[in-house]
Amino acid sequence: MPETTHTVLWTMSDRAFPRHFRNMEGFGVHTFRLIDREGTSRFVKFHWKPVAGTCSLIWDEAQKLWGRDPDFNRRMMWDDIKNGAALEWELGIQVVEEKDEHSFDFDILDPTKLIPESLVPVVPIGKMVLDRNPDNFFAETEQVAFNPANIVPGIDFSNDPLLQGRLFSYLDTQMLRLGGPNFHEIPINQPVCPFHNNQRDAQHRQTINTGQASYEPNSIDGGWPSETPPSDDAHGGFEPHHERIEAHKVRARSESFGDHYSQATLFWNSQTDVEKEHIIAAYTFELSKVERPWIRERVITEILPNIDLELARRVGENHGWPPRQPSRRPRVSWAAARWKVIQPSA
Amino acid sequence: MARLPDSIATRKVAILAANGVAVEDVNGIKKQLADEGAEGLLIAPSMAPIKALDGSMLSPDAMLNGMPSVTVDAVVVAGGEGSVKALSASGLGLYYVQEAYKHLKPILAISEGRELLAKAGIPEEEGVILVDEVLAVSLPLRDALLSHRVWDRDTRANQMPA
Repeated sequence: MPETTHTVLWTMSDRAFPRHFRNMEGFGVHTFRLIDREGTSRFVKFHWKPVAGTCSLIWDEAQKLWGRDPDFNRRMMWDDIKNGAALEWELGIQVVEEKDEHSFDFDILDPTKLIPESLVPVVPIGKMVLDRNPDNFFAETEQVAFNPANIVPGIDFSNDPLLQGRLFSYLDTQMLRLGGPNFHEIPINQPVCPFHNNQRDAQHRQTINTGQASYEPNSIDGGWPSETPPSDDAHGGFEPHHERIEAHKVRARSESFGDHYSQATLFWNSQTDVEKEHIIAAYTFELSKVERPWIRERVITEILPNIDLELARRVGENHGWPPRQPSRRPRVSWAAARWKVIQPSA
Repeated sequence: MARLPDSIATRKVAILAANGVAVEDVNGIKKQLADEGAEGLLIAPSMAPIKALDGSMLSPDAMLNGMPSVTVDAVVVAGGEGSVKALSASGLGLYYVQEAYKHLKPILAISEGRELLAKAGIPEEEGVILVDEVLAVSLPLRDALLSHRVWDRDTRANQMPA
C-alpha cells in the first residue's frame, strides 16, 4: 500500500531500534487542537525530544541483543533509574494557526505526514523525567490504559480521520483488555483530581454508588446524577471547540491525502550516507523474506523509485530486478491496488 | 544522525581482563568514566575473581558471554601480558572485539592489549585507539563515545567475519 511508504521507510531506518529508551524520539502522528482562554483554536503536534540525543543500535546488533538479552531496553531503563540516572525528554509543540491549515503542500490532518521542523519549529514547553521505578510492575505499568480521548482542558481533537477512529477504538480496546467499563478505577488509571461521570455498577466496580437512580431527570435522588454543563469557569463539563461546518458527508478520502511519497523522500534525503546504506540493507533483507515474488517486484519497481531512484536501483540489484524509472506520484486507487494482488504479474 | 549526545553520561564501556591484568588499567578507566557519569564494567572469562599482576583480586561485573559487546557502547582491552594472552586464546575474547568492530564501536587497547586486537584482525585505524598507559585513555575514549559510533568504518565493518 503506497500509504504506508513513509512509515515503512522509518521502520527500515536506524530509527527502528533506539540504543536505549533514553535515546528514543517520539511524536504524535495526530494533529490535535490547543484552545486558549479566549476560545481560539490552533492546531498542534506534540513531540518528545530526548535530552540524551537520538542514537540507534545497528541492525545486526539489535538482532543479536534480542537473543542475548530480550529485556535489554527495559533492564537498562530500570537500572539507570535505580542508579539515579533519570531518563529525560523535553516536551515540544508545533503550533499552526487555523488560517494557515491549508498553506502546506500536504494535509496537516493526514497522520502519515509530519510537519517539517524547518517549516514549523518545535517549541519546548516542558520536560518529562523518569526518576522512579514502579513498586509493582503489573499494577503500575501493565494495567495502564492509554486512550487519546483522555484530554485536559485546553486540548481538543482535530478532524484527523485516524484520530477520530481511535477516539472510539481505544475505549473499546481497553474495555476488552481490562475486563469491563470500570478500568478507570484501577489505581494507575484513576484520575488524581475529583471527577464525575455517569457510570454505575458492572464488573470490577470500586465506587459504591448510593441511591437508586442512574439517570436524569429523576424524581427519587434529588435530581442526581446530573450532567455537568459546559461553563467558563474551571468546573464546567467538556464541550468541543465551536466550529461552523459546511461540507458534504461522503465515503471518500480527500485528494489532499494523495501524495504518499514526498515526505518519504524528505526522510531519505535527511539520512547520512551510512544511514542510507542501512536502509538499503534493511529493504534488501526484509524483501528477501517476502514469499510472493510479485509483491517484491511491486515494492522495488513501484514503491521504492518514488522514494529515491538510487535506493530502488540498489535494492533491485540485490534482488535481481533491473532498475525502472519511477511513475512519479501515481494515484493508486483501492480498486486498482486490489486488482494487482488478485492478478499477479509473476 | 538525528542528534548526538552532548555528554557521555550513562554510557557503558566493557573493560576486558583476565588473570594477570594490570590493576591500575581497570581501576583507572572505571574512575575516569565514573567522573563523567559513565560506567566501566569489568568483563572476564568467568565470574571467578581475577588475580591481577600485583596480586590483588578483582571481582568481574560479568562474563564475556554474559554481557557481550552488543550490550555496551565501547570496548577497552586492559594491559597485562597474562591477561591479554588468556583473552587471545579465547574465541569469546577475540569475538568480543570483532563484534564491537563490526558494530562500529570505539575500541581502545592499553599497552599489551593491542596484541588481542592484532590477533582478532582489527586494523590500526581511526576509532581503534592504542595507548601506552591508562592516563592517556580518557580524552580519546570520551571523544569517540560522543560520536556514538565510528561512522567512517561502515564500509570496512562488513568485511569482519563476525
